[in-house]
Amino acid sequence: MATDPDPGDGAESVDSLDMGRRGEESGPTIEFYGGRGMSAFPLVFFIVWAVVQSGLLRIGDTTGLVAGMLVGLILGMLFVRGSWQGYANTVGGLVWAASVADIGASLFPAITFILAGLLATGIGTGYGTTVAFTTLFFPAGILLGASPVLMFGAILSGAVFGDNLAPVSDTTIVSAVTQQADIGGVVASRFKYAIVAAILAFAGYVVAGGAMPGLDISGQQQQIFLENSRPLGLVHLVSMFAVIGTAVAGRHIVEAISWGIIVAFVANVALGLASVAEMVVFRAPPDLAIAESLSWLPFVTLAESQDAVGVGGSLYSGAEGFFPLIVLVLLIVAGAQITINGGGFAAIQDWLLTSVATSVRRSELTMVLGTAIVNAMITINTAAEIAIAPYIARLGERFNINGYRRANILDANTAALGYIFPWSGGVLVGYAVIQDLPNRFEWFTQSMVVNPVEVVPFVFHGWLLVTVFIIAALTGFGREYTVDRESEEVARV
Amino acid sequence: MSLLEEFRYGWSFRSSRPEFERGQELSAFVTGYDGGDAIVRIGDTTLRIPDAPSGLLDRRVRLRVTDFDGTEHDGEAEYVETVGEGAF
Repeated sequence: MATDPDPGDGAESVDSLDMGRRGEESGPTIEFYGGRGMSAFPLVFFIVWAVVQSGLLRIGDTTGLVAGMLVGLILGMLFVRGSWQGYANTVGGLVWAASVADIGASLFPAITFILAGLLATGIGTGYGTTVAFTTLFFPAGILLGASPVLMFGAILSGAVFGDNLAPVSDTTIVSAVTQQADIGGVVASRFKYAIVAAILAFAGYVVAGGAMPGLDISGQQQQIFLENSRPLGLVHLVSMFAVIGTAVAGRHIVEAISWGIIVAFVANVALGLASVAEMVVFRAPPDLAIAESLSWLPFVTLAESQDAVGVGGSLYSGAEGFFPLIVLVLLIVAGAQITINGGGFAAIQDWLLTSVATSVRRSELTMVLGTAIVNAMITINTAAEIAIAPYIARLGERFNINGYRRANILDANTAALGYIFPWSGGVLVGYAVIQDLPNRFEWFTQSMVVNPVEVVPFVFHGWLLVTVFIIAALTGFGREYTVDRESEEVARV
Repeated sequence: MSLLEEFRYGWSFRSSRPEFERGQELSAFVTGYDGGDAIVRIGDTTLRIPDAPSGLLDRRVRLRVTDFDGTEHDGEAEYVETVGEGAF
């Protein structure tokens, strides 16, 4: 088969880099409405935030300052001229939609898989999707008569689908950046593997849903539950699709995420789904006079005691939640760098290249199984992905396997194996929520709690995604070489 | 490449031994050295660059195919320029 290299893409990439350099020489590379001074907006906003938080309201909370800088950067983007390289009640809306559509118990796990997959693809976090769906969709499915273990498996499968495909997913970003590929191209090129596995997984949940009986729970409890589900939550799906669309269209990932936050914020406030204070709030000392006079503002409240003083809200907890992961990632990167500089990386790589990965098929199979094994052993899948990424890059480059293909092998097996085994982070966050359900619902008994060991065979999409990649490595399905096309400029985060 | 083309790209089974034509220009990683020759392995196809400078291992180079044997899936190429480096 003759290969037709596409020098056009490569030339485009070089051009865009040159334009960046020319821009540095001739003037500002970003133009703002209101002139050059507006480029200081994010920093000025941050200073004002810091003065209000620390000076006026006397709240000494560093994470609150992180939230302030985050908001400053997002708002600053709105003043950029030209083209802008530019979520939580949703589940309640989905339960309402499912009940309106009158989905029966046997189809409920299959529909749960699709909806969880859509949500995870939109918000980019499989863990968040697992928590949201096990909180509300899992008990809803059990009330409708679906099998508990199948429901949990379907939720985890949806999380795998989203973690794998979402442009704003941490595993997607790590896979693209470490393999020198752009995020939009990576998402588009992995669609073929994800959809093949997802169609088979959907069929699996339809068949298993019919074969596996659920539990019999009184109709009155079902009625109470469904009456508490609201259709308004569905508006957040619009913001999800906006995030997916902008990222796949090649816009910078930071811009796409910023748009998601803005749309969610506006929709929450406009439709009354969440108050401003639920998203960001300054809890000032109760005896501070200026705080009392500012307490009319929707984001300022007086703390009940000195211990409760601080900054809060979803924007704050969102930023705070990432700190342990950031520290962990930095330490793993340090460890990987020491291994590279100390020669350990070269030793393992040489052994793999001379003894295991001796042909392109064996090399791809090594990449698939190596990523799968490391992810099956390490609880946090992003950390496992970062640790294995240098090996995937080198094994692939030695056979001139394209960066898109390498990123797809790396991410699919990372996402899949992070939600299957009882010690996997994704399974544990879902299990933690399910364990608490007997405290939240009278009808939910301890016997309905799914043991993490039981769910292992029912994460259909996870198993099928790994299988698709083993078959793809053996048959060459979707294989691309570096000579076929070059990645567009990498959106480095 | 349009968005639709990006989604449709790669729905096929790709050979482990890609073939090239004389005169074709490629951008690929140098994957090894054999004697004084640089080796560019693309899948299980091998291209040899006799005149390549040293120190190109794991660097991405532009090369021009000068000879290719479709039966053995190997050939020769000439070095044009270095265009990039590996990821790690």
